[in-house]
Amino acid sequence: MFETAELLGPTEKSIIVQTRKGTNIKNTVEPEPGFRERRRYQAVFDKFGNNWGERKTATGVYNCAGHVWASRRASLHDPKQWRVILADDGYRLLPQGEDPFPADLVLYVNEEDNEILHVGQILELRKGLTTNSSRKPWVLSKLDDQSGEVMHWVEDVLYGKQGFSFKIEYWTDRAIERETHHER
Amino acid sequence: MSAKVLEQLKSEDFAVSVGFLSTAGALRRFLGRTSEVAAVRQSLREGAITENTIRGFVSALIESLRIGERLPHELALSALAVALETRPTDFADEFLRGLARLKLAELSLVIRVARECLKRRVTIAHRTAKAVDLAGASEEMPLLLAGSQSTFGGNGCGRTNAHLVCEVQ
Repeated sequence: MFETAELLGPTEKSIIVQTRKGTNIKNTVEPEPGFRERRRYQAVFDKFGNNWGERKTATGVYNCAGHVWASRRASLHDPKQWRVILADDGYRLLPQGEDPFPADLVLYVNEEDNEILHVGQILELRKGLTTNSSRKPWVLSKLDDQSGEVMHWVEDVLYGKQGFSFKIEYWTDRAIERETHHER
Repeated sequence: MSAKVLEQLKSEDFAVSVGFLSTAGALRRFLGRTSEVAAVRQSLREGAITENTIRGFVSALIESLRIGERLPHELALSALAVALETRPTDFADEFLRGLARLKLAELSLVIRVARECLKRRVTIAHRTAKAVDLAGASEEMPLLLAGSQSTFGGNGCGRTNAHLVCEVQ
C-alpha cells in the first residue's frame, strides 16, 4: 500500500541531541509547513486563541520539547525521553506554593497515564485582567511541530477541550529557593 | 454512510477540531475518541465500506506525496491508523506495519501514530493470547470477551499473521 512512499527512501533528518549526562535523545528535523498546515494553524488559532499572542508564525523543524531542550533545532517526540532529560539535566519539580520563575518549564501531564502532553516555557508571572486577580504564569509554547509559537495564560490550553484530564507541573533547573527572594 | 466517512477525514473542520497535540500517543488517544474514527469502524463492521475502499482512498492520498513537503491529509491517515488498530485482519496489519517501517519526514506524524497503534495492537494480542492460555482454549476456539463486540468471525477475534487480536470497544 505504501510502496510508492518506500521508493523515496529515508528522508528523515536528525541531529545529535544529548542530555547533560550524555544520553542520546531521538529527534527529527521536521519539514516546514506547507499551505495546508499553515491554514490549519491559523484556523485553530482563530478558533481557540482569543487570548493568545503570537511570537512566531507557523514553522517546522521543532516541537515543544525541541523548543525548550534543543534550541529550536529539532523535534523531540518521545515523552518518555522528556522525563530522561528532566532527570539527566537536574530539573526539579516545584512544590505547591513555590512560584515558577521566567525560563522555568510548565508541563501538562495526562492524568490517565502520566504521559507528558506538552512542555512550555514560563515567560513571566503576569497580573490577570481584573484588579484583584493574582499573578499567573504567562507561557511561550510551540504547540506542535508545524505550529507557530504562541504566548498564553498557563491554563489557556486545548487539552481539556480535547477530552484530556491533565495536571500542570512546574519544573526548574534552579537550586532550591534561598531565603532572599528576587523581585519578580 | 459509505465513502463519506473517509472523505470527512480530509475536511478542514476535522483538522481544526483536532487542534494541536505534540505527541503521537496523545493524538492516538484523541483520535480514538472522535466520532469520525468511530464512524469508520462502524462502516467497516457494517460493510458500508470495505478494506478495498480504504486501500483506494489511501492510494489517492499517497499520490500527493512530494519530497520535502508534509503529506496533505496526514491527519486522515492517522485517523485511519487508529480506526484499524483493533481490526483483526491482514489488511490492518499491512496498513500499520507498512506505515510504521517508513522513515519519511513527509509522513512523520502518521508514521509515529502508526507505531503507537502497533504497540497497542501487540499489547491487545498478548493479553488475548494470555486469556486463551488461561482458559486452556485451543487456538481455534472462539473467544468471548466481556465488552467486546463482533467485527470478525462473530466474536470480535481472529488470527492475523502471527497475532491473535480482538477488537476491544
